[in-house]
Amino acid sequence: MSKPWRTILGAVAIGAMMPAWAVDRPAVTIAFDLNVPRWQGQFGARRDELQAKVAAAVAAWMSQQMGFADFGAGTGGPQRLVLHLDVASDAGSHEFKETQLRLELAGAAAATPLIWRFRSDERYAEPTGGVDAFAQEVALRLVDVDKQALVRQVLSRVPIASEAALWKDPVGWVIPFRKTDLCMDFKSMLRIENMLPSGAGPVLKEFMARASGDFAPREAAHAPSALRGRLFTEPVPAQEGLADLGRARPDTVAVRAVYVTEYLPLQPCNKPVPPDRVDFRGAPR
Amino acid sequence: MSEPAAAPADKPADTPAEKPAETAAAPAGDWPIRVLALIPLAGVLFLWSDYHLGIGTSQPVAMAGLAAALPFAIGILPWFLDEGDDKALRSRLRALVARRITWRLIVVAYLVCASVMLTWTSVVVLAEDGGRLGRVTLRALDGASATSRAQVPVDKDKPARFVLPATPFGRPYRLEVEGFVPTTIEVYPLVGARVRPGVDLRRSPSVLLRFSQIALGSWKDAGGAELRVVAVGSDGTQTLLASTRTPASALFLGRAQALPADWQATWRTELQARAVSDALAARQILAWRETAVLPLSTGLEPGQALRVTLTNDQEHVFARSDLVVGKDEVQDQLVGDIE
Repeated sequence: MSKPWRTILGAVAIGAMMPAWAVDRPAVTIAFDLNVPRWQGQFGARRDELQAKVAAAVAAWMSQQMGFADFGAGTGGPQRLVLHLDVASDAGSHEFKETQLRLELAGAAAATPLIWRFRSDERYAEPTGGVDAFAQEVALRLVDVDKQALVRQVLSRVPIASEAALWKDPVGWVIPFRKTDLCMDFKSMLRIENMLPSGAGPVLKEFMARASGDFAPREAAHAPSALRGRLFTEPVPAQEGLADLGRARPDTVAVRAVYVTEYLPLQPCNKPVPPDRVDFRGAPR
Repeated sequence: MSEPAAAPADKPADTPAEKPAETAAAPAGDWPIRVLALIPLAGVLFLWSDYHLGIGTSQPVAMAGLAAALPFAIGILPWFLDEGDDKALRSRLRALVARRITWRLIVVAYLVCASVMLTWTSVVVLAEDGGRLGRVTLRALDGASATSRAQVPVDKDKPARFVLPATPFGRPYRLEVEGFVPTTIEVYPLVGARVRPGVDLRRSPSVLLRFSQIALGSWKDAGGAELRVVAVGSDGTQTLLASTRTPASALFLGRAQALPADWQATWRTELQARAVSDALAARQILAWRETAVLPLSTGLEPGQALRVTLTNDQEHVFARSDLVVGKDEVQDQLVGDIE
């Protein structure tokens, strides 16, 4: 099949699959679990209040840092991120125990947990300062988290979309968001799950792709207008199954889910950069 | 006593109709003997009053004044009277004494004094030299309705004195002196009881409550917490001995005492066993050396079971310790957090 025909066919297939593409960012609810017995007793009946306050603070921080999902405090929803405050597992019989924060996606398959220190063992005995002060202290500890690890180990399990359009020239995917929708800059990495045709029927193939541009094909007439301006991602070279993807007709490939694995925030993201976030050595922080 | 022999002389005293004849003639008979018979009674009364009521030698000026006033009055009387009047006055006085102080009165006086001395007694708790007694409480043990009586002497060296009903066979009382182990004393009439706390009583044991840094951290936390020390009876009843909301690393229950020298080594070992780092352990030991005193409503007694709890504003008991007071003068007790 000649290149123009492939382009036309691909565009038709895309147009048939996603006519509207009004997709919202995934909603992620955030909960906080105070799991240190000493502090559970300390807060007693106010534990729920504390947990709600911390969850709200974490959701606000996540919303500020990660634009590809819609974070909110709560306990429901299909995607639930839980921040645990635990005693360090190696504390053993030590009277003064290190406490740590652990972030996990509820219900997701076990992965390397994202853990960082809350208080050192020397500070274990210190007063909490009450609900507000303690919630603030937890929120302050979020600055210590490794954001890349947060995306790689935790948020990369949250699908941001359950659909995308396969494009053949060049091979890549158009995902149903503009970069400003996700506050995501080029070079961010995504993992895309596809059902590819094979002799045994459709099989799951995962590809790593890098956001590389805003979708704006030269043959504008053949591309559905809904796709224009959306993020175009290209597969990372030398991946297993990439040749099969190149051979497959777009209408036979179904994208099952899109995940973010490396996130480069877009600055400015439709809003001015606050002065405290500007790194005066060069780029925004 | 020869009442019948004295009867003729005394007869007019008992019959008002014959009074005019009596004033003229000088009284005769054994009236001096009757007056002398009252002197032992007065002496015994003075001693009893001095011993039990504290009225006597403890008021030397008043007693000396009283003793000097009568001879002085008799001695200066002749200066103001001529010889005839003096003789008449003396005669009337003799007649009055002879008429009023009868053998019957003397017997009754002896009987009344004896009954008072056999049914009233005293317990005196003496202050140590230069010291001031704390609260002293006394309660009869043989009467269900007996109420306790308490005194808190305000002056140095002043004893606490209780004048009490007694029986010739003695009566048991429970004596509590602040800072000493309560004791039971048997109080008899006449001799009563004299208690020198420093010699006759055992000092109350003290308990040093040491709070772990974690418990102390929770105690200092927002909302605060209350320390309660209760005595647990054999039937499980709890009596509040003390409570406070002021955080402290170490508190003496009872009086403050010097910390035995070997305790620090024990504390260090204890902290090592709890896997506390050297720096934290050192900080903890220094904090425990800063002691304060928690006043108790009653003194501690050996064998007494105590429960110490720290409860925060959420009604959560985050630290607790149960102990039995031992016989040592000072006892060490860690109050750790509950997890």
